[in-house]
Amino acid sequence: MRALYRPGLRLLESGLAVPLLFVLVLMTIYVSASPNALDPSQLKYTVINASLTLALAAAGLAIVVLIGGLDLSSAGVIAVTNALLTVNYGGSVANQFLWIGIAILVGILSGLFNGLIVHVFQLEPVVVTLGTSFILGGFALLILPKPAGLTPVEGFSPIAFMTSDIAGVPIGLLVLLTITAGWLLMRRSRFGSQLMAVGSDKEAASNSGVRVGLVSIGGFGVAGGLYGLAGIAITSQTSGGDPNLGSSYLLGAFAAVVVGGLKLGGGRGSIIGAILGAVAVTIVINVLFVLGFASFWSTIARGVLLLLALGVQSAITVLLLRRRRGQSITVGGLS
Amino acid sequence: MTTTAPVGEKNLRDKTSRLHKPQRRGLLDLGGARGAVTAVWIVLVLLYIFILIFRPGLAQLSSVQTIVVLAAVTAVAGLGQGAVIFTGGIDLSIPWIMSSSAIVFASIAQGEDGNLIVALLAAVVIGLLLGLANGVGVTRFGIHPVVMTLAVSAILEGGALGWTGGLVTGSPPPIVALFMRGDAGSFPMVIPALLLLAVLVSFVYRQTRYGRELQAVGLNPTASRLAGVHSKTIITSVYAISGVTAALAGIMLSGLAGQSYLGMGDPYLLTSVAVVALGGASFAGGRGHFLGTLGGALLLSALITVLMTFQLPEAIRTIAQGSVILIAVIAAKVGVRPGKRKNSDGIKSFRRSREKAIL
Repeated sequence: MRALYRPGLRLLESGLAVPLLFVLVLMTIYVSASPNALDPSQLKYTVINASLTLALAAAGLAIVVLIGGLDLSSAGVIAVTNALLTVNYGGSVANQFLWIGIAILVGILSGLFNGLIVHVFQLEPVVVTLGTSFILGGFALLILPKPAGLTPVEGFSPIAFMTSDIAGVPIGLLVLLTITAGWLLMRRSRFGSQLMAVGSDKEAASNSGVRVGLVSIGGFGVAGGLYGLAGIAITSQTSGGDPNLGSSYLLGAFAAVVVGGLKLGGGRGSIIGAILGAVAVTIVINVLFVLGFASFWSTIARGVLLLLALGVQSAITVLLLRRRRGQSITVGGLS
Repeated sequence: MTTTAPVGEKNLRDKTSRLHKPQRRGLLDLGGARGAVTAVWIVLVLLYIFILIFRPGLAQLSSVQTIVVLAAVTAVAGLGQGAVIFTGGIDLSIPWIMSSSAIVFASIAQGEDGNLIVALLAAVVIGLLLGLANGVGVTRFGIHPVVMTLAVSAILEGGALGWTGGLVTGSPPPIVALFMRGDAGSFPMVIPALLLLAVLVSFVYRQTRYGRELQAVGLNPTASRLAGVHSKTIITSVYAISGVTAALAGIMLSGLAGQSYLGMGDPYLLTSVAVVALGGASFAGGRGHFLGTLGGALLLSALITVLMTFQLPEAIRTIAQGSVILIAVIAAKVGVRPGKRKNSDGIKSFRRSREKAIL
């Protein structure tokens, strides 16, 4: 019994051990392949800024996965917010902030729309979010028919700021830390625990007075807002817009969530795991690039990593289950 | 039933069957999807009348032929997607199975009719193996269908890009183009083949052991496993079917386009799901029929053609297709609710009649 409280085992149970291990091992390979990778400015470009979009998309997907759903709409939201910003961004600082706000709002609204349809009609989230993703992707194509650059802004630009740094500290890192802090606060709030309750067992949550519908619609809304942020991050990173850019983040977000130790089906895992997973996925791509693999290998690697991480995670679940069985503690919910 | 039932039970069965009228058992017994399938064909007829009145140019035989041929590709891809969705899964690897098997097909055939059989076999076997990989991952390793098929799709996407280097290699044999497009003025053979496929699928679904077991698994995998159905094998087979139909759809598309290229299957992720949704399938599994998918494919193809006559940008088409998915799943859900009640009434009346028979 006492063994359960040992930090190592607790880490293993939280699902964070695997993404941490992935990040450490991959980082070691990366540093040995490219010695100056640990240089702060290098680290900022190749690790923090490169994984920012994916980390935000994965964090959004993680919330939906935690409540037991699946969300394919990240690609659509990223595409449409990227297109909106590319076409409308510029002018005064107030105007720039207005469009950033609009981008986040579009994300939240499309998330709420998904949640509402899934809940009211009791439909499968996969098919609903597939539909909305294509609708949003269509709107992105309408707004921005072909890739374009962002109009340069005189003076302060919040979008460019997102991938720059203050006194050597990358803003991207601060954004991710803010999201992490937000998650830790949310996890301890009423909404957070209700979120986990809904993901663990909808019926039990409903019987104990949780308003399952509101919580899951809210979860979809938060996820949409994070996709909106991801759209802003990609605009900042590429300082331009491409209506077909979003689709590559769908696979990456799933890989990040699985590497991050979240259980598909809900109720287990954390957003921190998803963010670490996104960093791991990004480092894999960097390593392949440094080792001189052609770019198509990175797509293959994402797919293989997805399956590999699943294997490792389920091996750990089996391991934990066996340990617990030895201590004759009944396990509920792990199957 | 080969075992002889006790006399009392036999009497009971005779009585109940007289009291409770048995359901229709023909090829057209569509299960829970009956209402939705009827609805999609009625909408199709209405759309045709609309075309006759407002776009008479589209009602010509040649235009209708084009609409049906385009629908055939979607319907074949939708057959596999529908089978997977019937078991409560979803196959996101269809676009890249289509593209990669079409690319293999074209590069083996090299535009020669003599190479048709070898190329066809190679492409179908590739589709089969990829589908089996999906199925084994889902059933034996317990991987979520979305994740498994997404991973396979990514591996294929990268693999196809690496193998071809982004170039168009080879070309499909002319006989496939003839099959899809027909000779000047003649009828493309794909249309009767599609009809034959519809009859065949309806037959397998309703009259064979495999079809019955598939229905049982779709309705309740646990119960059917306890009843002695090899649920996992059935579900694996469904992904294999989806792989094969995706390969066939890829070959059909390459015949239509005259070449195979990267990303040629991309639009079929959306359309294969859309036509299954239009056919009234339930994405939780257990409801749906190929006749609905076929009607959905014809409807979607006609709808897109009508939209194209309004000279709208391609983006509008994507938005329309996405909306079609949402509207169709919502309509099927709302439309089915009263049907369910009727069904449980039927069970109640059956129980009542059984009690009477026992008394």
